[in-house]
Amino acid sequence: MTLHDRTESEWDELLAAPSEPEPTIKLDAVLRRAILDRSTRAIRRRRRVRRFAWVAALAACYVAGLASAQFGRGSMGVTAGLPGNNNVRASAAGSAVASDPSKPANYVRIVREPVQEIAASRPACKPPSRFERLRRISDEYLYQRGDVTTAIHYYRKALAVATDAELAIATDTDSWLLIALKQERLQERNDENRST
Amino acid sequence: MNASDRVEHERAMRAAVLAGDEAAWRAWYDATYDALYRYVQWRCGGRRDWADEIVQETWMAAVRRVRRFDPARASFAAWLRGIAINVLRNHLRRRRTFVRHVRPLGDAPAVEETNGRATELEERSRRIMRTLDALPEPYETVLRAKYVDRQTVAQIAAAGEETVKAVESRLGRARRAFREVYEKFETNGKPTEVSDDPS
Repeated sequence: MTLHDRTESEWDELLAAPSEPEPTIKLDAVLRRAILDRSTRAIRRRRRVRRFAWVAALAACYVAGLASAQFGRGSMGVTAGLPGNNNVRASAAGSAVASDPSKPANYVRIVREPVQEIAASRPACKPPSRFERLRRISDEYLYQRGDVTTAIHYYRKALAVATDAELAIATDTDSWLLIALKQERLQERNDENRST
Repeated sequence: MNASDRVEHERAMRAAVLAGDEAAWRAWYDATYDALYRYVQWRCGGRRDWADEIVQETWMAAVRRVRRFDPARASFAAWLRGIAINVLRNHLRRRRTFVRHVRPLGDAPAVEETNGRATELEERSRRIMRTLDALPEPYETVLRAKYVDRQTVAQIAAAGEETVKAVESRLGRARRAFREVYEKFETNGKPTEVSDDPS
C-alpha cells in the first residue's frame, strides 16, 4: 500500500492508533510500579545524601572551630615562646601567659592576675604641682581664649609658687609669655642679689 | 488551573521533591504517567516494548535532572516529553549503529529474516517513529494534540490562543508533511536498517 492508495481514514488510523493491542492492566501496573519504585529510591537516596551533607557540614564547622581555637592558642604560644619572652604580661586584659616546663617549648598557659597586682606594678603617678596647674590655666587663656591679660595674671601667680626647678626656662614646654615673665623674674632676683 | 497557578504548584512540587519528599514525587508521577506513556507509545509507532524502555529511561532521567526543571519555561509534562524525545532519538541512533555493525555473512539471510520478527507491523512502527521524529516541532505538537490528547480543533485553538482556522490549516499541513515523509521512508527509506532490538 502506498501514499496514493491510502484513504484519509487510513492515514488517521496510522497517526492515531497504536499498532499493538491494549496491554493488560496487570502488565501496565507492574511497569508503572517498577518505575515508581526505582525513581522513589533515587529520591530517598538524594534525601539521605542531603542529610549526610548537613551532618558533614556541621561536623566540619565543629572541627574548624576546634582548629581555630587551637590555632589561636598556638599563635599566642609562639609570640610568648620567643627567647626571653616567656612571661609576657597582657596588662590590658589582666591576663598573663606563663611557660610550663612539662609541656612543649611553644606551649604557654594563660593565667589570670589580680587587678590589684597590676595596679601595684604600675609606676605611681604624681598629681600636678600648683605651679603646673596654674601654668595650664594660663596656657588655656593665652592659646584658647587669646586673653593675654588674664594669662599674665595666672602666670604671675604660678611663678609666685614656683620652685627653682620650675623657674628654669624650658623652651619646649613654656609659652613665649611665660618665658618672658620667667626672664623678668630672674632679672629681678639678680637685681635683688646685687643690691644686697 | 491558570498558568501562574500551574507555575506556583509545580515550583512547590519541585521544591518538595528536591527536599526528598517521596509523597510529592508519587503524586507528580501519578498525575503525569499516563499522558507520558501515551505520548511515547505514539512516538514509537505503537510499539509497547520500545515505549516501556523509553518511558523507564525518561523517568529515571527526570528524577536525576529535576533540579534543572524550570516551571516558568514549560510544564512538567512538556519537560518530560522533551526528555522522552531525547531518549527516543538516542534509541534510534543506537539501533542504526547496531544494524550498521551487524551484517549477514556471505549468503546468510539478514538479521530480520533470521529472527523472523520483521513483521509488517513492526516496519510500520519504525516508519512512524522516524517520520514523527523528522517533522518540525509545530507539526508534531498539533498532531499530538489531535491524535494523542484527542483534542478537538476548537480545544487546540483555545489552548494555543489561536483561531480555529489557523489550527485547521496547520493540522492540514502537518498531515501532509507526515504523509510525504512517511512515503519517502516507505519507498526510498531503509526501514530494515533499524534493528528489532530496542537496546
